[in-house]
Amino acid sequence: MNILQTEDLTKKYKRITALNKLNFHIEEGMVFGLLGPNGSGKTTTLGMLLSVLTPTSGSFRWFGEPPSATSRKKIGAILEIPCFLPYMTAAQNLKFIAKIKECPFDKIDPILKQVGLFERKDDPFKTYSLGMKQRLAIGAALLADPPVLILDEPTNGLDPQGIVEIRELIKEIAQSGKTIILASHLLDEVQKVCTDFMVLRKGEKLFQGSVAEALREQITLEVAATDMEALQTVLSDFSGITKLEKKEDLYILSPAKGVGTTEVSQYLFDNKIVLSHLVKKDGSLEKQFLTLLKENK
Amino acid sequence: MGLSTFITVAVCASGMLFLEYLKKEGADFRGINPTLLPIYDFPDIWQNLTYVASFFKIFPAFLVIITISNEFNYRILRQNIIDGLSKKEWLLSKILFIGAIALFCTSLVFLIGLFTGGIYGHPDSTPYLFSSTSFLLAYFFDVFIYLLLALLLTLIVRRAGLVIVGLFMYTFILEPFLSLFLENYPHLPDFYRPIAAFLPVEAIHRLIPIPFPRYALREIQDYVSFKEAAIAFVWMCFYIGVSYWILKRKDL
Repeated sequence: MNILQTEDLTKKYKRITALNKLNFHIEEGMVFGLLGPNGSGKTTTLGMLLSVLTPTSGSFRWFGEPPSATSRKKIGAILEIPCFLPYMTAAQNLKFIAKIKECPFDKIDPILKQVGLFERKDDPFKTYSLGMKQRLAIGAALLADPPVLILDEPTNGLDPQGIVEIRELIKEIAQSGKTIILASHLLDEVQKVCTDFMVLRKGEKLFQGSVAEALREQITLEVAATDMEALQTVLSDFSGITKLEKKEDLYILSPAKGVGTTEVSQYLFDNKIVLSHLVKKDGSLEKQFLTLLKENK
Repeated sequence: MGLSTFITVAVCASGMLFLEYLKKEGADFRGINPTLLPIYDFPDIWQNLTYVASFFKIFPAFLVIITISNEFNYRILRQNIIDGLSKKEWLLSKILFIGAIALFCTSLVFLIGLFTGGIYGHPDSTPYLFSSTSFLLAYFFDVFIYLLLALLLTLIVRRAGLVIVGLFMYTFILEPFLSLFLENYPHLPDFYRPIAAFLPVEAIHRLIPIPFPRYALREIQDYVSFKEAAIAFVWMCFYIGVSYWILKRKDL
């Protein structure tokens, strides 16, 4: 089921094009990572999807329908900084949000406990630290138990323990089948949690795909042998690798599609090379991300 | 916010009471003892009071301007929209809020009228207590529509200070001058004269025609004219319509 579909979504500010004809879709159950350098258009995209910014052109559909307040009630979102009524308490703020979302009040206390704010629930919002404000924002997003969550840098301002808690929380929610859109700079976190991701730069989509596939393609092998020169000669002739790099006393290989560790060591063995060092390194999203940015300069 | 409401209301109320007091002690009107002026008699009192009260509508306007601009500057409206409030619902709630303020002001004027009329008015005028109360309705719309204008201006210019100063200057300086100019400047072609009646603040101000010349034994219009009501109504629809349009198109 298509949760979200955009069509040529564009946002222009006088001379700057913040977002240029963005087309993407998200399906139910995805944990979708939205990545990109600062100023790439992540928050602009989310702002438009939540009807806070008006698109210059293009359109989008939530749950197959044109955007409306009703579909927004089914989305729990944090956008940029947490905004709550400063003179009201956490509990009162959540009550207010529950009224807007048309959901019952009995979830408020459990949610406050879940995000660790139960002891401070009767203190006014303006007395909270940044981390507490962030936790309240996360709580508010979870309040109506929505099928879709949009989290813009949810770990912003949290201590290391908080970051782990949020990561576990996201994983838990993902397992229950909800759809999550996560905008983040912490590529490590995205890699651990997301199923799919999209990279934006200067308003253009550079890449959209599945995390598992991207990591597979990024696998590298580290090899070394007693006769390094012979190793290099054999490797240069090998069609099964796309890249060969020397790093100190090792060679780093990027295997081609369909070529695994077995194929490489078999080939080398057939050519009378016995390896003294063979390590398979999994890909990382960070590498993929930086490669993408470099390729598209 | 509670404090600023209280202050605004207190100024409104005391302002009007102060004026009544002044009038009671009275300045000298060419030898006629001012306390003899039957300004508190029913039914005339309604037109007199509402005319004076109309000048104080700037204070509730401040309240509206500050409240609305706060919702923008603290991003409260933005968060509400994200959570699932529709822009239409928000606008409607603000219009109701404005209606409540206008209703409050009108009730206040009504009570002041009852009391001061009861105290200072000639006893023989009491049977006429409830006639000419159409001016109270006119006053309600005077305040209501003026506050809608304040709402619209705040939606466009999101800075409270600018709107307050701008509205004040326009209401008390620019438009009165413009309207007097249009009506009285001798070298202006006749085409321009009636425009004065259509100016935004003038249109609603004229819902309550000036009553005081009658005490100088001159003819005045002592009813609310349909033509002026129609113009005011059109402005009201305009303010609401444009407010909604701005809300839809502009970024939060």
